Amino acid sequence: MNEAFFHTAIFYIPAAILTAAVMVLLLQITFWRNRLGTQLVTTFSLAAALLVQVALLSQPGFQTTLLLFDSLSSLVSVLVIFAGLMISLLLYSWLETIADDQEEYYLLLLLSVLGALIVTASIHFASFFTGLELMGLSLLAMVAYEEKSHKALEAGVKYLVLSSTASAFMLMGMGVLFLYTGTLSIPEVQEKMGQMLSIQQGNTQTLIEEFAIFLLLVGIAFKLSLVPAHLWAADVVEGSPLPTNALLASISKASVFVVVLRLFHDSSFHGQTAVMEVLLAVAAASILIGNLLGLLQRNFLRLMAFSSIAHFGYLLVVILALADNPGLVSAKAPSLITNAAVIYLLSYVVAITGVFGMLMILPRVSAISDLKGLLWKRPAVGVVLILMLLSLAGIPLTLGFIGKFFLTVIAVFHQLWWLLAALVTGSVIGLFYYLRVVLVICERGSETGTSDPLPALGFNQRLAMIVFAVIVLGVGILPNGITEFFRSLL
Amino acid sequence: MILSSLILILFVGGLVALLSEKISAGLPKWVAVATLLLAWVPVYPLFSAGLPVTDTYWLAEESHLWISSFNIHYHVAVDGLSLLLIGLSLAVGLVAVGSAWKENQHHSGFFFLNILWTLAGVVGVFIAIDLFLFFVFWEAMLIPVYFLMVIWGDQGHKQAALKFFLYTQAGGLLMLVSIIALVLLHFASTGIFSFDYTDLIHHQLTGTAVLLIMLGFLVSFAIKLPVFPFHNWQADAYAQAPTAATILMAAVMSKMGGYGIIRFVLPLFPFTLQEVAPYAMALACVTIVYGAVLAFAQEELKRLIAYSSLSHMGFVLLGCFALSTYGWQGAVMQMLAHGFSTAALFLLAAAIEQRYQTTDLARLGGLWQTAPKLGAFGLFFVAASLGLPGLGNFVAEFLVLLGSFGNYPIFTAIAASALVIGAAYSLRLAQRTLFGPLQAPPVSDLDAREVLLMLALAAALVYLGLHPQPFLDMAQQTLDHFPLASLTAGVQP
Repeated sequence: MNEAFFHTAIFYIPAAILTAAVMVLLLQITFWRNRLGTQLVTTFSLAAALLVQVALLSQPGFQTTLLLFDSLSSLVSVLVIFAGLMISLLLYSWLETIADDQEEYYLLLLLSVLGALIVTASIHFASFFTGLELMGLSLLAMVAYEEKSHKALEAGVKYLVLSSTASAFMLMGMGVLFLYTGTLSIPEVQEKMGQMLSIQQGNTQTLIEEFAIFLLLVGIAFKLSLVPAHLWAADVVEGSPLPTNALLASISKASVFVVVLRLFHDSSFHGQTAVMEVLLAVAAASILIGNLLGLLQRNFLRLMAFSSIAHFGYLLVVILALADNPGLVSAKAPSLITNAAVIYLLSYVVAITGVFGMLMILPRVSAISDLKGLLWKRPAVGVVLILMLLSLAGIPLTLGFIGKFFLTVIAVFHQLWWLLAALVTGSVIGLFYYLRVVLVICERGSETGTSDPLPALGFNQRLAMIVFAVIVLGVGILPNGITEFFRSLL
Repeated sequence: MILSSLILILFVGGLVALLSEKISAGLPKWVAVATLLLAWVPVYPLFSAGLPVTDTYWLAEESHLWISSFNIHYHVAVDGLSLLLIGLSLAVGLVAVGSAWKENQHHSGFFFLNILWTLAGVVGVFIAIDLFLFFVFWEAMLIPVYFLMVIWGDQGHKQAALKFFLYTQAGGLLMLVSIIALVLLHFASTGIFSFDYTDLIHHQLTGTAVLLIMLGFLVSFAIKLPVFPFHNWQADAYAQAPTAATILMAAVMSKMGGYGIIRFVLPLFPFTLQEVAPYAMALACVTIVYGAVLAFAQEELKRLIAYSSLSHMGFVLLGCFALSTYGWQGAVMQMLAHGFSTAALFLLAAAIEQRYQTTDLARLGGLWQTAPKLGAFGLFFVAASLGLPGLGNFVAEFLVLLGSFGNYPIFTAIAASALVIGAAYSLRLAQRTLFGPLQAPPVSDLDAREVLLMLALAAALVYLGLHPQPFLDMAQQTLDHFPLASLTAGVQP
């Protein structure tokens, strides 16, 4: 094997590991059903994939027709596999509570992570759509996994119908772009669109482009649960099992966001003023509506769904900053923007996976009041959960604040004043409901010792808790290592 | 290392307090006292160091690179003003711990951890020189206070805690945006991208954007002091928090607002100050009068003290924007004197609450008859609060009024009139609690611990009142160095 092949083949190794694990699991489920075995295969394959992916960060990237392996996709792939790994660590004791046939869940987990990896690396609409559907269908099955729950089935049906509709819109958008440019490869599409823009001055041509981008955006807005495609989020998150929620909130959104970043990096996309204006409205609306609707929630899962809506509203600041706005410090702009996006994604993925992970350790939690007194009953879990919530709220000394700081700096640099106002307002409103949950966790209930002894935390649960806490606090207090590392890569 | 060791001592002390609860429930409070006494060790030499003779202006300084993407450093330093306020914080911290001595809180280890970590955050605010670091300490200090209020507070504490946090956080976010905008404008005009105060000071900016940035800072500090109309959170928070937290909030955390104005707003935005000063003075007057009138109307002891605190903080704002040396000196003195007197008043309120299980003025009365020591100290601190000459508050208020008369005689007249209302509510407080018919059954008088704390506070107030010059000199060190002199050009000192 020559050098060139080696340099290109290594990028496929993480996905190959996961595919191999999927096949092993298929055989295992067919011939020898064993929960521990499935758990071990899943966890070790994810860990191996994570290690390889981290090692790949230092490799120079390369591009094929379908896939682009550069530092952005490598970094977000690390995040995706990390999220999958953390979830799988906590799955063993939790799965018993929801269904009889549990091994299939691991299979679906691996498939969804695989789909997310494909989406993250995609540079062609075909690979994007394939990965998206692979991820989406696996997640769908995971949403409706709990066969005996009406809520789960309802969530599953809602997700199925809406996800298919969104995919249909996206396909139409891709079709129009193909009609217009004759290619499905994203860089070529952008190039052709740019050429057409510079030649044509007439409005009709821009209209087609905008139309196509809007169709794409409909699907993307659904996947990222942005206003106005956010109505599915609360119901689906309320009904589906906790690890699915974690995956839906983290890998599904992070991978799609990478594609959005790639699409809008080029001036053919971010030069469309109508599109950018709509995106501005969508961002502000997501921030405000996500936070305001979260205020009214009594159900913790729905609260997390609305918080997720708001967070991706914040992230859209990055996309809007890409617009050709002569910011005050334009020379710094492009790499800082991608940097900020990745740091915010890191903070968001870790925090949201941490929240759902902690919920998996606890007995069934649906209403906020179920968390009452957690700090006193299970101090370690309570502290980590509070830390994750504070990180989502953007309190300094947590990773979430670093992410928010980067976003605020970018918003000020590019003079996005209205968005900044929405960001500040939204943060304060969001703080209200995060603090309310922290308050409930800290509440002292009746201290009578009638509570049955809680099961001790297993090794895997302790490991997950330590990892979450260390990342959120460690990078929150000493971010330089990570920020410099990202800066050197991106 | 001196300054970081100070914060480290407080931080580690908190952890030790948390863990020591496992050994014995009474151990954390001793750990807290030990930590606070130990914290004087790095700081004490700086007090007697005198004015620095080195080129670098600071008495002590430390800087490490923190986030290189934005040229943010962990840069801490002290000068006279910071040192005074750090001393106040540590002293009041001891008072706060002392006030919680007998209370037998559940989870006392966690309680004292939060107190010590709050103090660590406050000290951090007073020593931070990099604006980002300042912001981090400003916000991070809210978390332990929030826990104190939420876990150990009285009924109604949830709303109070939430209001407190949201108000401060809103101000904080405004400040963050202002900081970033300031850094950016500075970069645009000088080419230096830095969050460091010493860099930003060398080039003051002008323009409408700068006015907005200054307002961002000012609103945030106005929420902290607090000043009308941002004072809504104060009365509830002070009344419903546990006493130790209230003492910290009233005596120490509110000073962060005044410190912020003197340290950041005045030197960084001298050109825009002239425009804003009349409005700020007007707001200060409103605060003074409003706080005094409301204090007079209160029926509950802690809320009365809270509103009196609001009124006194108006003097700080008045002194800051008087734009004269006497005014600034007065503002600093007011911060010190008010810190001690308010801590004492809340300590008294705690003592009364412990004995009578109520702070309702209608149910208290004639305390002097059964608890003469309590009565004596009560009267003393009430007199201090209303500005009796010979005690610290008088010096402060006198300097503020003297300093602001030159530029704004009308505002000064209004503020001076509020002194009468101040006397009214203070004496009403004394009359309703200490004198009159005995309403409640006799209780024990102050014990040795309480007497010791109150004596210490009384001594501090007397010292401030009779010999304020050393403190004024230390404050003057700050006021001399920064380009505040340009503000007083052509104006009475």
